Amino acid sequence: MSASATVFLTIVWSVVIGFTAYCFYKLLKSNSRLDGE
Amino acid sequence: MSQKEGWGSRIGLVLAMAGNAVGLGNFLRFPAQAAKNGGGAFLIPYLVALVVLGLPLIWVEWGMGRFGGQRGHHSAPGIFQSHSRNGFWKYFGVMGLWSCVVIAAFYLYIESWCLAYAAYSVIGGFKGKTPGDVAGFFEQLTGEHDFQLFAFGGWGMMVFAICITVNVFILSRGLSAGIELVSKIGMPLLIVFAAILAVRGMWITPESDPAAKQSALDGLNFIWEPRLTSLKDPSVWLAAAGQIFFTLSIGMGTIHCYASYLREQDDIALTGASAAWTNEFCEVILGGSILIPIAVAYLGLPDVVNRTSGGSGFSLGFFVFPTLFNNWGSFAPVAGLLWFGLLFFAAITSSLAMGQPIMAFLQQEFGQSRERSAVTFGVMLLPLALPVALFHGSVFFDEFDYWAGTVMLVVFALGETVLFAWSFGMDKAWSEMTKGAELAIPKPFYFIIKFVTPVFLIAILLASGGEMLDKLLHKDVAKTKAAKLADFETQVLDLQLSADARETKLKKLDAELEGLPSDSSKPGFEREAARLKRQEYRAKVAAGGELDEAARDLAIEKLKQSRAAATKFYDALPWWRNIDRLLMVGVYVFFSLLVKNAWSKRQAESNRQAEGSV
Repeated sequence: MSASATVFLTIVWSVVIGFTAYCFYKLLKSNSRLDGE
Repeated sequence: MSQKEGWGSRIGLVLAMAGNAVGLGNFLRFPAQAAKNGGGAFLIPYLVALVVLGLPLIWVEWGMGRFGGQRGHHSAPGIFQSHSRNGFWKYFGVMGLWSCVVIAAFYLYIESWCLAYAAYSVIGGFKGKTPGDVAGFFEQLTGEHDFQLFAFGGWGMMVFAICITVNVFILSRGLSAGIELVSKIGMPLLIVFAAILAVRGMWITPESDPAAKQSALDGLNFIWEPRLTSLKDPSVWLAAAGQIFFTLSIGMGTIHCYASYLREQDDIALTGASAAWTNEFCEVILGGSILIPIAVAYLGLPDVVNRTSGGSGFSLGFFVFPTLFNNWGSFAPVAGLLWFGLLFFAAITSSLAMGQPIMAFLQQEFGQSRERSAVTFGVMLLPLALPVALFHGSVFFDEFDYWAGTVMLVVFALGETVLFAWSFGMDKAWSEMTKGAELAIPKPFYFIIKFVTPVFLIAILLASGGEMLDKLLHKDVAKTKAAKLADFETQVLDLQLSADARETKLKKLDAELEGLPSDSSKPGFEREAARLKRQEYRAKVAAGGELDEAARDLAIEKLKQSRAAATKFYDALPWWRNIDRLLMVGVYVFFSLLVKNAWSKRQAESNRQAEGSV
């Protein structure tokens, strides 16, 4: 892979994985529950 | 009376919402769109659109849904009406029922193809097959042939019926025991299936696999190489906005419905963002790592560029992929199952989301039980689903996809933004969105939702205006007809060439082919793709010269017959499309009358209660 493609892939994948992981981390740490839980 | 519905767990809700968003487009459309619109550079407008269009609309829909749910409404007409005193909004909200039924009618059909392909892969049906054979399998399944209006595929109809029944059954089990359970099983499986294919695919190199023309990493490079000049092209920005819009399942009323089962203080900011980012993970990381890299490895980059030039990965995914898996030996049937299995899970979690708003409406306004409303949804689908399956794809399928699955989603989203941010009021809307929030929504979104999102939506509609007008006036049919007939004409003329004329033409084509690599106005892969097309055409012209007179006459006669069939087909198409549009209008009127009837009953009930209290 070319250097520019690798840089682009790394940046975008980091953003997507970072935000997804952050959301799930907060979700799992959260104390709030829904009706059925 | 209807049973009380609710979500069983927060993670279940996130997976159901993500399942609603993750669809076939994540794995078939996104990689083709990225490849077509600038590679890595496409991700710049894509992420911008996610911020100014995707996330704001996600929060708007979650906010509206939870607000409407607190007032006893679980489908778009009631949810919209609960935000305004103007009676118009409940009829506008009808779009949230209409879209669900019309889209489900053709989406379930594709879902049934995934099921049929998965089953056929497992039994090794695609072993040793060429893309042409697989196209033949598709023709058998759907009964669809070129330039024939009517289609009937016995097997296809049976699998379609099974698919509708499975959806109705799951829906009848309710929100928690049905949709949520399927999402909790289907979404992790989808991610695992996709991850296995992506990892296996990345190992393909010409050294390790004799069938490979290139390395799969060349395919990944093709998707991610930033061709920054594409950013100057407005159509690339429009394509990115469109992709974000459709990938998140915005503008259909499904998110409103799911969110309406939350309590007033339940968080929507974090839950909504989690579902949206899960969708992005499935699309950008998994979706971008399967279709194009594997296809490039076995077909070569120029061929893949030509096959995805329309911005769709459908033919690659359904006609070519099953044959490429044959290179994986005994793993081929499993790979086919994983690929079509993940597409099936992606599809079913989305189609279930389209059924729930209809069921909620029937349960709430007409007192139907959960089971009965699920069956009613299945019955309501039939008048739309049968024409989809019994006619050529250009007749009902494409029209439903364009008007309900594309245009009206944007109109609906624009309407809901105007209602929530302007009519309901942005201050109230903001407090609604941030109530119980476990994720602080950044303040700039206040202004983005109020100003930027509606402007962006208007821009999308305006930019698509020409295409809409062309479709409305059937100019697109006329253009396709002219192009097809011209193509037939060229093929006939090429066959009729004398030996000398053929020689001259071949020399001209050779000169063109030699000149192509020096055309610096296009990137290298585009030049290679154009070269491949031209080479294929040259081979056709040359092959014409090798036929004897009888074979040539027969080929010309066949082309003339196809030309006549195409003329008849395209002449009849506008007429059938008008019927199709009448049907769609009829469905909208039908739901509007149901809403009118429901609200009259509500009014009468509240009058009775008022009289009773006096």
